[in-house]
Amino acid sequence: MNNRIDMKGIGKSFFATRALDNVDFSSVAGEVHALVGLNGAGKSTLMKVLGGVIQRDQGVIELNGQPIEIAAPVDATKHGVAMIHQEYSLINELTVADNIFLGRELFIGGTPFLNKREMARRVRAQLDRFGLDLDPASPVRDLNSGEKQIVEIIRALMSDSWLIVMDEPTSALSEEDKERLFGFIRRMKAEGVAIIYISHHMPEIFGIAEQVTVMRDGKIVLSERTSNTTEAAVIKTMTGTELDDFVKPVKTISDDVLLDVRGLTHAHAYQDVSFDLRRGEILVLTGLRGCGAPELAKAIFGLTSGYEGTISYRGTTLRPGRGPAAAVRDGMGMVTENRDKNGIMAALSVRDNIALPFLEKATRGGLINAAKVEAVVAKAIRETSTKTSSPDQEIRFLSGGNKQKICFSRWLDEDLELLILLEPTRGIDVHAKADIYRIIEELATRGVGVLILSYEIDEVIMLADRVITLYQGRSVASYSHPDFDKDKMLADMAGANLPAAAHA
Amino acid sequence: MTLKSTTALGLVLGAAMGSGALAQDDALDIVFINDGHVAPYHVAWLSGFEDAIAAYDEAFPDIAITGRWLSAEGSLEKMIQQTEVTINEGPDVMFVNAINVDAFEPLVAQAQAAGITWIAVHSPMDSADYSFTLGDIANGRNQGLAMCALSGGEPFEVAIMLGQAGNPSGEARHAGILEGISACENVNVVAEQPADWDTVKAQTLAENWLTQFPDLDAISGVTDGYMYPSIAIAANSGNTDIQFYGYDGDIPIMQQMEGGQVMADILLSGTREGWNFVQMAYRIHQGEELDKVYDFFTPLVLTEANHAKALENGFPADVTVYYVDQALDVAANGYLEFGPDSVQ
Amino acid sequence: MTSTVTVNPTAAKAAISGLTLRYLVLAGLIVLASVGFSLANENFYSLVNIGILLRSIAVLFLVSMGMTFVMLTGGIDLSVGSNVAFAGGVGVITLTTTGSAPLGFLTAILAGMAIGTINGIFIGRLKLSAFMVTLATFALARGLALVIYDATSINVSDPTFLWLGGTSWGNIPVVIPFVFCVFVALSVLLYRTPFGRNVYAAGANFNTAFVLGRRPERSVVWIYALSGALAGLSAIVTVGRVSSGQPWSGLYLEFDAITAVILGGTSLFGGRGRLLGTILGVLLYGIIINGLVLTGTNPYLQSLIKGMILLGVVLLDSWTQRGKAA
Repeated sequence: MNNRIDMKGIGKSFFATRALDNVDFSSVAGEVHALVGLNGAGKSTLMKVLGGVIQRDQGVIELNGQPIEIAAPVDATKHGVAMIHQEYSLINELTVADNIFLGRELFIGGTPFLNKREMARRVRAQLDRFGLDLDPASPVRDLNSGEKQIVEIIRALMSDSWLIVMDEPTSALSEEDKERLFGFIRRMKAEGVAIIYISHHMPEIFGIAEQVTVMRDGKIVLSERTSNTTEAAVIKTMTGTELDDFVKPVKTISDDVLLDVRGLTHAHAYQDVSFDLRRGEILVLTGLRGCGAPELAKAIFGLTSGYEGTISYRGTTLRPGRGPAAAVRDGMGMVTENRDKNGIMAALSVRDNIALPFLEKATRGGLINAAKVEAVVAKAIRETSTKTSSPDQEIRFLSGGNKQKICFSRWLDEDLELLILLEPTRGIDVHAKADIYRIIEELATRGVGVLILSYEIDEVIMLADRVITLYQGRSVASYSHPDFDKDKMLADMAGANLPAAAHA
Repeated sequence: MTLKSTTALGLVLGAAMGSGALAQDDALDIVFINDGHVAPYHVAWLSGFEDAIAAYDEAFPDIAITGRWLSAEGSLEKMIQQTEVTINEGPDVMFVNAINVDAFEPLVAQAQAAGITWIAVHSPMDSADYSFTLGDIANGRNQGLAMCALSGGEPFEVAIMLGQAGNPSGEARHAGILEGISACENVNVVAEQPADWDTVKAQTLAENWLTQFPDLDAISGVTDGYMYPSIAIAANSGNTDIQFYGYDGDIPIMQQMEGGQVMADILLSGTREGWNFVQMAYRIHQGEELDKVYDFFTPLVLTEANHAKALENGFPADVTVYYVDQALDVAANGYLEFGPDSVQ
Repeated sequence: MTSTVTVNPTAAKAAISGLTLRYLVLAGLIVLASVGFSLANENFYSLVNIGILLRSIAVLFLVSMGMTFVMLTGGIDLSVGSNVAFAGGVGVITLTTTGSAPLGFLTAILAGMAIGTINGIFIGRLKLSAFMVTLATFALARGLALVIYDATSINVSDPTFLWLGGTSWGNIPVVIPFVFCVFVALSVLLYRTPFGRNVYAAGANFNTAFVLGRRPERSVVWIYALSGALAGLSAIVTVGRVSSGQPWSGLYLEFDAITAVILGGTSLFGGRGRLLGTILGVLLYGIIINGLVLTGTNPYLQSLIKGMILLGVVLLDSWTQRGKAA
């Protein structure tokens, strides 16, 4: 079990763009090799070459020193290479065991009847081997995203894969699930599995990887044992510049209460939550996944009804479920947690994506004033430093970070009073993150009330004027800048400090 | 008459010289615009028309005889468009089976202004140069009279399948059948319903009637399309006594007359009608005077034995009757009655 | 996801010129088809024939423009053909009972809108499948037409009522400038008003449009109502053309409209497409169909050719879409 794969001198061009330029990359059984780089650096292209999804122009791939041909995904599978995708390829209606054995089911003797018992037994044996606590008979529908990822990996391992490629595996995971995944990765290493780990998160990389390789503009710019380098060095090579740390400015917040939530309760989602939000304040709700904060935010935006308690905005009580149209009219804006599902309109241009909530204001006599729209769009692109070739470009061609900036830029006009952000930096690179933090801070300075849901504790501490921790739908404690106690917050989120009910 | 003999002379000369390469200074272009092209009757009709064009063109080498047909697929808009386009192309003769005659009045005027002879098919138009009509009432009456004469004098129950409600041709046929059977006392209509020219609906009707009226003596229909399912259902239920009275002269139905249960049919035959169109166009081209309302010759079809029996029972002797063999022959071979030989 | 940036410049350029390229190809095909048919039949280029061609596709223009709005939302409207018959019936019966042509026009358009609004409410508000809902109203509107007409046609002689569909100025049918005016009006609606942008938003991502407060559920109702209103307008043109109200008018019209719209480059999945493309699509489709009549192509083949055009375009679109997605 000492497999290794070596990619040597890999080159790939798309039209005039050199996506991969003479790249050497190796992966060895029993090790985690972290692959990092900003969006567009070539990480995914390299992995697509390895997975047989796209063809290289130059270079060789060797398995244990012997050249191999990977012309299609099926070749990669044959050589034991498995890609774990961010979008899960599991069938929700089937059980864990059914999914794992999909396409290569076991039968009872020569009969056409499935040997469910044997399949479950084998899955359980694997789960035990990696110390995982999952029921092979439970439907995949009931699993959370972390568990689904594990099922995918188990499926790959049970198809004789020895090299697992994970692309941003923790982007959708709660802290709890992340820890479990890291435990699983360590067990896999011990079992002689090779792992290529693509991530932006330095602590994760330095926590589990033996080797780190940094790509920039299609080239390898750094490849080191993690023990021989530092987080700062990796970040520096990634961006090519020293990334200024975002420093939260000191500011005073008015006493003008914009939003007042009292005793908000919705069965199964949140119970008796109260807080207020002043103009110019950044209030962050945090907790584990399932803490009820997104549901709460959606109630404020008028997306859901059927809650008890009151939401007052600018001094008037809002009607439950009044709909986003009314919310937008009243100066609210929202950036949702799932860009592709309900954040962007993939088929439309950058211009249309930005200008949509603004159209009525640019309309005179029923007709849109194109010049006015153009001015707004140009301003939005400039202020968010969004990288796009032109406002005519379709948004789907932009990177995740730029898409997210456009989701923000829609709300930047002067009528905005309350901005609700759900996981504002999910799945975007550090550069874009810094821009987004800057935008949030500028909005707050302008007097906009900002309500954020974030699961990333570092981000919470960096951004917030005030933090409310939630656990299973209940608010646990409230913290004000600069008195943030990270350990206590984490304990709150995990349910350890539950009795200490707090009031905002 | 002079013109015709000149042509005949030319023809003889041409044949004598053994050459078809005579200068064709004369041309006859015929267009037939129909409402549909998929029903069995339509298919036979259009192919008869095509065959006749080819036969006439070959038989009269000094005239370039060409023709084509168009189908509006039941759409009036489409038919109007096809007609407009055709007028623009300027053929010599147009047969138009108008879905709605009123909508075509302006087009008739336009065609005539362009020197095109307009022949209204089935539904007569006063403005048209000619109207090619089917003697629906007379034919229906003949079917009814045959039923009277062949019913044997005992009380006789008949059920009638009608056309689509409001369809003029179907209603005329229906009226004719009722008029014919009113000539005798014993024939009693126990049921009549529209089957919308639809074989499947006819099948449902036949099934219901055979259950509902166990003593039913005959099924009559305004089209042979209804006969196929009716005969099949009667055969499947072992009913060998029931009689069928058809209409249209479909060959498979007429083949079931000799020794079978089909008693009478009306010899329209799509093939014959197609041939008759070309013959008519040719005759007009030759300057012959035709009736402005031209009735398609549609004899009654009976077996020889039944005809004799009918005559004994008072069936009028002046009704033209074709026996089955002859009917099958002319239905299959339109040229027998309407081919080039008929006009030479 | 991370590699898309590298492919960006070229892919983006291709996307921007994608529709323009499509229109150039369509225009080229229109020229090609015209030349081809004029070689086969010298009558093709006559002014008279161009008038006939334009008049015969006037109704298709109107219905297809409505269909474009619908398909931009990712929906489909199978009911338009039946709706033309139904709306025509309402208009003609109003005309014959009241004797007022303007009242007949009004009721025809309102009747068309009524069917459209029913579609819109079921699709936009109740979130039912557009295909299923309009398949139901496809049958329903035809049934209503047959009932109100009692399955027979009604002749119309009122010159005002027949003017739009029946009159020509020389070789140019009145209806053609009218269609052009409708095109201009709908273009303004689609490109210059918030409603038009909402059409694209609802089609590109219904959820996003909803969260952004664009009320896509309401837009969808109006879009189907618009499609219905255009069917009502088409009914008036149709009645004028055939001087009568026909219970079976508009048969297969939805098929022709969908084919023309897809031919014009509007995406089946919503959010992409322009009215100009539909105009070109209708022209090309109309030229082919008219050309087939002119060259005396066997009618059995015509339906086959129509089906092949639709299949070919759908196949082509799915290829190009897949190419862009990669």
